[in-house]
Amino acid sequence: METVRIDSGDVTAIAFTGRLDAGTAAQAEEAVRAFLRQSDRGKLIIDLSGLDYISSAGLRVLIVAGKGVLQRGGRLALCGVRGNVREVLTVTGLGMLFDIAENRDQALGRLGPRASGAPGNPCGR
Amino acid sequence: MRKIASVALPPALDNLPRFIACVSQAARGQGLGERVGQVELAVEEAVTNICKYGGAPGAAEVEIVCLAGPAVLVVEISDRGRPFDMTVWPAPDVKADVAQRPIGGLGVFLIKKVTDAVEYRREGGRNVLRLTFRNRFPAI
Repeated sequence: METVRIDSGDVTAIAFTGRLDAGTAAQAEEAVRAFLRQSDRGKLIIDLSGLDYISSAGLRVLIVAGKGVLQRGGRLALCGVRGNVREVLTVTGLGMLFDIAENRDQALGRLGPRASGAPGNPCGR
Repeated sequence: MRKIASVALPPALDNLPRFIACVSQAARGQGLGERVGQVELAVEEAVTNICKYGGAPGAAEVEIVCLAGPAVLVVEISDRGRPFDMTVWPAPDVKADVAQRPIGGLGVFLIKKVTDAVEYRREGGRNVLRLTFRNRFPAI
């Protein structure tokens, strides 16, 4: 599995690609926890478009992200959910709990306007 | 039923890719290409449970045997850990919201969801978990 993180303005996107299973979940969880440590009221997109497989170990990482962001008053959206990942999210009911967008652009829209002072806010308020 | 593949390795997460490779090849060979993800998922969850909770690590091996019948693949996973019958394990609340969700506990639930049958027996000091996958899309 590969983890790629992109910080852009007040939004962080973390993309997991490959297999998010019992062998790779610790690496993914560390990426999520690193984001949670740094951000208060932060906005996070988890991009799963390159993810081929997820097991309960991977679901646990998504739950850690969901709870952590909620506790910090932030926002979380998932995107690129497909195949086995979609099936597993659906049968566990987790698909209903997350804000799931088609792609990153749509996810950005779901997370709302940029925070005041952040690049892209012309009024700076 | 004829035996088409088997693997026996110590119960360690490092060995997970080798267990998965065995069952995924067997599933493809049986024409269950569309269900490979489900077969891999069920086996990962079962083996992970044994690695984490089976007890006596290093003392014994986990053995996986793949059996083929007409339009069916059966995967038997056995270990010498403490007795554990997941078929009587209570289901988690899959309607709870994120804040209420326990972190963990979904593995057994997933095994039951992606298989056509889950059977357990204790045999000669071994747990034997028997997972059945039919050659069709399951009703989930």
